[in-house]
Amino acid sequence: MNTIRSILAVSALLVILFTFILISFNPGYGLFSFGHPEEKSWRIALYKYYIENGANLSGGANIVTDIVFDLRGYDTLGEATVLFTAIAGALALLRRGGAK
Amino acid sequence: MMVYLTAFALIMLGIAGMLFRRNLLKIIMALSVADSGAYLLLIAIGYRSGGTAPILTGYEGGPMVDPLPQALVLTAIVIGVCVLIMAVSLVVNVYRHYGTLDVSELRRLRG
Amino acid sequence: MSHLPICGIVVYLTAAFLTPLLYKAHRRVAEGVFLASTLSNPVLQTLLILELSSNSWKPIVYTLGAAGPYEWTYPIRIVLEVDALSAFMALIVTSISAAVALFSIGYMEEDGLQKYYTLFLLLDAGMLGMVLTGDLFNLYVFLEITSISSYALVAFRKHQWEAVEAGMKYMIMGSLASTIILVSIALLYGEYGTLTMAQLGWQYRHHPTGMARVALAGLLAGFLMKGGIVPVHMWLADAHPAAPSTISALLSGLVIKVGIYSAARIAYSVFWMGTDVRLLGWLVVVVGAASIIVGNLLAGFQRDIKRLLAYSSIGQVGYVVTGLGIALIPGVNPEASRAALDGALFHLLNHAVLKAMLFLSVGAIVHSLGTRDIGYMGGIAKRMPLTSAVVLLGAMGIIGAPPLNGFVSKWMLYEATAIFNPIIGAIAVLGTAFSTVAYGRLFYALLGRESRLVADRSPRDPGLWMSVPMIFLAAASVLFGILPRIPVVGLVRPARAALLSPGSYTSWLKVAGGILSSPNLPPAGQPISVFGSWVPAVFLLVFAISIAFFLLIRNLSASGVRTVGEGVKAFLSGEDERDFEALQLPGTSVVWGFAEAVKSLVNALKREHSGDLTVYLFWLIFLYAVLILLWGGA
Repeated sequence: MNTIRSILAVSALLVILFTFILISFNPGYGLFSFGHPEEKSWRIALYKYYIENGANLSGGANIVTDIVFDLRGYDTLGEATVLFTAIAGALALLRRGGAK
Repeated sequence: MMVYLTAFALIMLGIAGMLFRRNLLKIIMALSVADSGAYLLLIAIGYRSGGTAPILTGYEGGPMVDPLPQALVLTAIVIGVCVLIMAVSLVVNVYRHYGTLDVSELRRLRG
Repeated sequence: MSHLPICGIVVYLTAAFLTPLLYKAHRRVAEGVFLASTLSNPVLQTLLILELSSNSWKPIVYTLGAAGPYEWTYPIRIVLEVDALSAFMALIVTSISAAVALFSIGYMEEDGLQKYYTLFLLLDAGMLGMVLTGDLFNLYVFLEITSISSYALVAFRKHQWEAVEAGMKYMIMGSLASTIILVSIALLYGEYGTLTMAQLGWQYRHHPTGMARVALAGLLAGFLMKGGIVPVHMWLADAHPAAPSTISALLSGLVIKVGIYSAARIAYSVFWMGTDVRLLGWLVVVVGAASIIVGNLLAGFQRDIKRLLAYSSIGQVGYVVTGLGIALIPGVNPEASRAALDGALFHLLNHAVLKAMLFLSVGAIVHSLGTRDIGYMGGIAKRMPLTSAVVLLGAMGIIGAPPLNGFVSKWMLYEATAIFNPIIGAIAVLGTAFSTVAYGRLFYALLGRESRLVADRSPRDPGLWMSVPMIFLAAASVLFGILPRIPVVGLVRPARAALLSPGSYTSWLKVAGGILSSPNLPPAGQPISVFGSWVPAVFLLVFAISIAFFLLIRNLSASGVRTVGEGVKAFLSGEDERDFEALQLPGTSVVWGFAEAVKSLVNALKREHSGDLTVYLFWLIFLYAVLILLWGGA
């Protein structure tokens, strides 16, 4: 990269970093308060529902497991598929031969 | 707050590394640093002060942390690993063809 | 509850997992499963569309793991939400990939075929999951399935340096975009505490916050990169030509469209209402217009035929994005807004058909000649009449010649852009002029004198497996051109209505109560006529501005000195100079003046496509920062 582009790149990074700092610290900007999510009145307390009813819904004491394998099981299927894709892709890229 | 800042700093460091390093392996490492920042951000969002792990043990000493981001991070980590698998197998092939990992040598396709 | 929405994904995934196992038993068995899954899926999606339309296009919400979305006030599980737009996209994705799958049976004869079939099916499953899902994180997961399988497929011919280099660049850029998308999803979850897109849209409408806007900036930057929009398009021109031609057809026809779809879904259904999106709409229009110029212009200067098609994809997707951007801007003439969206969605369909057809038929030519240089394709029309006819038909469709389908959608877009803003209208017309130059060279090459290579190789038309999909796509293109009312009324308009009324996307929510109407548009009022209306004054203005543009570009460049040399070969047969003299209609008289006139612009653009990965990454970060500044910080 040439000089102008490096300067532009650094300033772009600074813009993004500044925005992130802004949303971490400025309460008026729609901050998510660290450790106190219920401070935001408009936030849906989905996690409270999971904690209170997760065990009843799917029968596991570990709520994370309930979510991974039942409530959001479709994502886990997708995750397994991603793994399968990556392995199939790596096998395709590292296969022998192919010099045709 | 500092956790958020650490997460954002990791993301920024990763992106900066991708922009200013010229070795392909280092670029990939920078990518995974940025990914780690994203995971840390997710976990930090789920934190509640004084919270315990979201496992029902009968212990009633305070709130539990948000379990959903932890589940998301599990998925995201596996996806990140898969991206690394693909990236590294491509790097092997790049080295076979070009004999170098410098991205400035990787410029035969242009225009 | 009907299980139709998930069926297509299940079929693709099952076949993807079965294919490598069955391939061990016998190759034909695996191919049978591959074909059965890809060919049955369009039927499933058609059934889905019929079910939707019989229920007056109300979105179907399918909950994974429960009978309905409501165990609580808010949806707690992953939902698939199928509205008219999703079903429209799902039908395009499955039909085009069915045609491509049929073609690949005859086309692919390399080693590692079982991996090719598996990755092909996974790519389809990823795209179908992306268009049908109603959950943001699930969208990310399926985006990664799509992306990872396309990285692998781009680099599938790993013994060629070109495929490996293109795959590497595509992979690094795509992964950075995915990371940005993941961070934005995390921000949205932190802000609103839910991941269901409809619920997020509802929350945003009632409590728009700055952080949600920052998240939107990241999502848009990421998905525009996946869609190959200027200035983050550089990977596309490398990756699409390097892949096997069948995969190029999928990538150009579908994968970039799915990226655009996701951007549109998020910008319209999640974020549209609740705040002023004028700036964002203008930004999208500007990048779309830039794509039209850059893509179509650079297409005219490629010798590699597949690279020409790839650049042309950038230009044509630019039309789609411009149309989508116009409808985002509040206060635009509603008629123009509707026409822009109709045109954009119809052009999306048409471009998918045309580009798949072009890549498949060009793939057959490249396969038989062993080169991708246009200069060596002279006179191939005599040897491969069917394939050449399909190529030229596709070229005419992309240029927008009546009576093909490209004409209809482009006409709608010309009209919409001209009413919206004459300068954008002029850019749309200019883009067509540029693409005429690009594809005009194909006519010279294919119909011209026979080159020595063609005479030596004596290529023949491909067999039945490969001819049928080409003819099918060509027939679709002619049919949509002659009877545009069938797809426009049956598919495009409901999809447009779904985009324009974000209230209907969230109408199934328990908290929704009354349906919000969109801020600046009447619901589905008087439908605009398919061929649009003719407003002479506006079009005269557009043509005047186009001519002014041409003069400007001409004056900017140095006075043209025609030097006969390298450039001649690009559109002639690649023979020596004496053959050039023997031609009745020299190509110079058509293209050379143009090439000289825009030389300075093209050279500047070519310098920017330097092949340097870090520069490409820089543009992605730059776009992200600009989006945050213009929209997130507002």
